[in-house]
Amino acid sequence: MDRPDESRRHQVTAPVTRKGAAPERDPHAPEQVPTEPVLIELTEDEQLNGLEFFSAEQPQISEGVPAPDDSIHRADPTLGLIAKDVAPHVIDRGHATPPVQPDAWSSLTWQAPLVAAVLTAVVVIYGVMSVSLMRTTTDGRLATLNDRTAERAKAALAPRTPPVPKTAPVPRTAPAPRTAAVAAIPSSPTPRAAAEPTPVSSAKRRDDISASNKASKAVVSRESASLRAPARSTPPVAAPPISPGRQATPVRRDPPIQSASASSPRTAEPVPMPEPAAAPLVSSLTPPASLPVQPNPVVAVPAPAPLPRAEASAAPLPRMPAPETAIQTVLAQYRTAYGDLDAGAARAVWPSVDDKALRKAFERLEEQRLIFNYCDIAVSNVRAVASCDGSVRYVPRVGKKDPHDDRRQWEFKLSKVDEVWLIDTVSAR
Amino acid sequence: MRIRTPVIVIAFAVVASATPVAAQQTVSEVLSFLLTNRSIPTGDFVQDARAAAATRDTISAFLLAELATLPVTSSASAFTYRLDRNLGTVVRSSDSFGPFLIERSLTSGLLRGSLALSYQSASFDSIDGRSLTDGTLVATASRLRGDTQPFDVEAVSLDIHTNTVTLLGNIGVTDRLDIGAALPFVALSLNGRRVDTYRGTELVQAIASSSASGPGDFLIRGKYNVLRRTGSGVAIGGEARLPTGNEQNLLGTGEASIKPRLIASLERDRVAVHGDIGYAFGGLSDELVYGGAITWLGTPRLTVVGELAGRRLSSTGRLTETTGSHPTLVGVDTIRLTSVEGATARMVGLIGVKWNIATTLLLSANVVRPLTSAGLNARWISTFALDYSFEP
Repeated sequence: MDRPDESRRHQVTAPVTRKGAAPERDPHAPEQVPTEPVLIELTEDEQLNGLEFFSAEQPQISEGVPAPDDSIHRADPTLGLIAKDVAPHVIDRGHATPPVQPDAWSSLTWQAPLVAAVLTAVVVIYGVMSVSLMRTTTDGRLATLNDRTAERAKAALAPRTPPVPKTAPVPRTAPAPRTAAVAAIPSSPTPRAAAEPTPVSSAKRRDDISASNKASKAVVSRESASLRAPARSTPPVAAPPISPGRQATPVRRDPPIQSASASSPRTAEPVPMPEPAAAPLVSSLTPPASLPVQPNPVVAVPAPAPLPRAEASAAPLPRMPAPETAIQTVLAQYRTAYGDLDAGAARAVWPSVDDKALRKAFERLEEQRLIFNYCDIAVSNVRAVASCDGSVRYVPRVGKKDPHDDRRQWEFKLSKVDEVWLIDTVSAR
Repeated sequence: MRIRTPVIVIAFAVVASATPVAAQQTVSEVLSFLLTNRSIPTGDFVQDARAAAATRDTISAFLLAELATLPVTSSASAFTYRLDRNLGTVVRSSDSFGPFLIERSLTSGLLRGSLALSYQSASFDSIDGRSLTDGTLVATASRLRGDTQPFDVEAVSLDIHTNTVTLLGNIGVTDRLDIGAALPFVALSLNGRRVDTYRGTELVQAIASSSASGPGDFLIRGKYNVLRRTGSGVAIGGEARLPTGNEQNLLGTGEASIKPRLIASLERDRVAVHGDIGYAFGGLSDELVYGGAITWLGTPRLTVVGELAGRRLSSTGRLTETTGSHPTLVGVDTIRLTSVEGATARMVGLIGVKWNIATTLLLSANVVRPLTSAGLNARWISTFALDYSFEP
């Protein structure tokens, strides 16, 4: 390979800090340390095969370069030279062979493992934090921070129910939580998200959605994708915030903002969402092991194979939460509201409840704790019935303060209103 | 269940303190003695004795009727929490501890019960509008025809006092069926004297006193909640009185009776109204009972109660004065206190409070004031009760 033509080195368009591109200097002139990097435009050939070009270059330190003194000479880092101590004995002002400098490309590639290590560390730390924030509660469900705070507050009441192992097998047929993890996140970017746009290519996102089978992985891989994704010319899209604090956000009655802006490919129109986000909590992505979750038709669709970008963008993404997952979230909120004796919170998931009666009932209780041991959820279009078996422990405000334990069965009738699952009626016995 | 021990101890103490009556005249005999003329020459002592007996019986009936007016209701339901199927949580069955004399529709709940001990004290001072204590109750008198005032009067003054301790229990056989029992222990004292006043000159003819104590008529009761909506609802109930009390000492009626009742309650946030109506067969007399109560929730632990309770006894008779010509003395009429057939309608008002002093222990207090003059009346009848509710 020929060395690039010197005549083009005056057209400075791109920053280059390599030794081979250093401007010519007067060898007899006192050595001057440039204060700014020299920018040299590269040819197309150089851009494509720059490493090959420059790897063949020899060091620019010419023979007999006068040194200011006999002290150890350091190469100028601004010129792309590796900061390497040169042994005094090899510095011969006469005919001594200059030290061989490492190739420029190899001097750059050493950063790759470091970057990879940093990224890996970030991913691992994030994963560990996510897992630590999504511990299972004593009754087998994944707990958010709020759940655990409430649990601690009710430690005296908490019966020692055998916790469901975190590694409880989740039916393979229900990978919905993974998609739910993406679709459920409100698309309205938080200020943080807006301030830190995370460019993610649609292809990368789709790969993440379809490739992973576990919710936590989905979240992590998505984050990883965000971290790994190189900067591209496509406009950045505000990534949905996925944070532990977000996980505890209760489902609101208001329909969640469509997540199309966050999750739809940038290269295509927003995909109509057959099952809009019900905003399930991230913590509910993994249902308790005892919960028989029906196969999710949305997720049961095989993961789309890698398609050409245009085709992939037009295909609907299976990012909606499984109904069972959303319902499970509603039930968890119901349970939490009842445990907190919060009629308002109960009304959020059960709008038709007799708020006054419920408030009065709660006022007559000192404490209450609901435990769902098992829930059977049957979904039919926009209707669902959840039959739960469990127990309740309560302490009355008037009378004996001894906790009362009753076995209980609930039947929840739910319907999807404005794309949100809500409780219509509750029948307990 | 710590309350059980003192309850039993007190109950046995009352029983043990019962005065043996075999060695003395019964209260009924003393009452007859005081009411029977001994000094006025009426010329017809048979009629005098008959009138005295009728009067005694009527006073006895009135007294027994009053002894039966005891608060035997249970407040256990106020400590009961029931599952509201539609709310999906337990709710307190009622914020109110309920009335005293009037039944409420709410039952205690399955295997939930209560034990209560009540104490009632009453000093009767009037009967059918006549004073018992000031010596104006004329038993026999002679009057010249045409005069307004008799010239020879035999009057009786009676001091009748009762202390009643009632032990009662109630248990929920099912969630809607309660059964209960009450056994009163009555201490009755009667002090009286008969004074003859002849043309302004008083002469004490007799002084007598008697006292008796012992169990009264045992009461068994049941209530079935037919319709229930939180604290409101409808129930049917019934109670039977067994003649376990000593009839001669006016501690019991001597006859069994049964009284079915219909009960309705309507409860709102802080106010509840209750009403019941029943009819008793047997006993002293067939009796129609009815009443209404209003309870106001002061706090979740305090209930203020106001009640009106009426009863109509169909055959206890009424005291009256009969006037007849002297069989031998011309122009002289004889006046006798006696009883005539007739129904007696009574109404009392009650004000009381029920206070949950600790856990399921309830302290109750009420006073009853008669609103009618018929029958035997006390100015105030006060009752205190301790009620302990329990559950398995």
